[in-house]
Amino acid sequence: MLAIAIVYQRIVTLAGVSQALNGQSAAAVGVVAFALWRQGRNHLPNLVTAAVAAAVFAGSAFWHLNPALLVVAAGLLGVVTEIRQERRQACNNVTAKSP
Amino acid sequence: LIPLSLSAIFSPPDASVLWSLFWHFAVISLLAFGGGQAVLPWIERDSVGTERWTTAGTFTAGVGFGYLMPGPVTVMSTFIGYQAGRVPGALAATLGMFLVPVVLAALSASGMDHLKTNRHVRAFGQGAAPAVVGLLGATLWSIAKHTLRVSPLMLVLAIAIPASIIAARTKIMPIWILIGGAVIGWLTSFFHL
Repeated sequence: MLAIAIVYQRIVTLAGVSQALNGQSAAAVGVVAFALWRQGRNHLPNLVTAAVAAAVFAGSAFWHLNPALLVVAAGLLGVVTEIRQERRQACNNVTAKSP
Repeated sequence: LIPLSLSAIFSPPDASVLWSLFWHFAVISLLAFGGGQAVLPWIERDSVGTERWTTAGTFTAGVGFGYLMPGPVTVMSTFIGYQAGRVPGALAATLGMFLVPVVLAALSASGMDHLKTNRHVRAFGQGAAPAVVGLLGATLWSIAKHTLRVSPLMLVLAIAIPASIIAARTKIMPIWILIGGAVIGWLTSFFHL
């Protein structure tokens, strides 16, 4: 990557190079779009997770919120959901055991 | 000429720039889960927005170059570091990006099994995964916005859609798709598109 950075700095102003880089950027859009589709298929199994992804997208792209905070907030949401499920399961177990 | 160009490549920047590069990438590396897609918008915000180490165009080119190699997002630190402070900057940023995870991995190696099976740690990962997808969407939004600023829509679609289909349907490595895009872009310079 260091070699690429050095070469990039040297050739970026040459004729034709900027057009080639624009073409490469367009291809990168396609590659990242496919990566997004693949990640979405694996990690967004339901509407709730899709809503979280959409909210994080809006927070990062339009409101420029700190991406680290968004990831941590989503992670904590996952922990809270897990704890609530644990409690609900415990309550159900107690109800089932009581005569 | 050679000593001149070598001094341009190795010229040390201000020590505060080196420290800033190291510090920013060290903090960013703490949240580079799952290949680091989550931190790409953060790298962009710091390097293009707040610190102005590089321009949006160079950042987009860096993202493209990143996909030419393993660990596409984490190697961005080297590229951005070079833009900000030449070789010393690249070294500082790379060190920042990789030092903390290596130290953490070494320290936590013994407790890794416990962490993997911990329900809350797993729940955190499951909760963070949709956020990573959202952030990847934000990255796509950002590079698409820049690409459309410098290239006509039809040309972007003519390259991006086949690139996407090739990535989905074949096992061709992204490097060849990106090189193909660059060749098409270069060819357009002869047709004044």
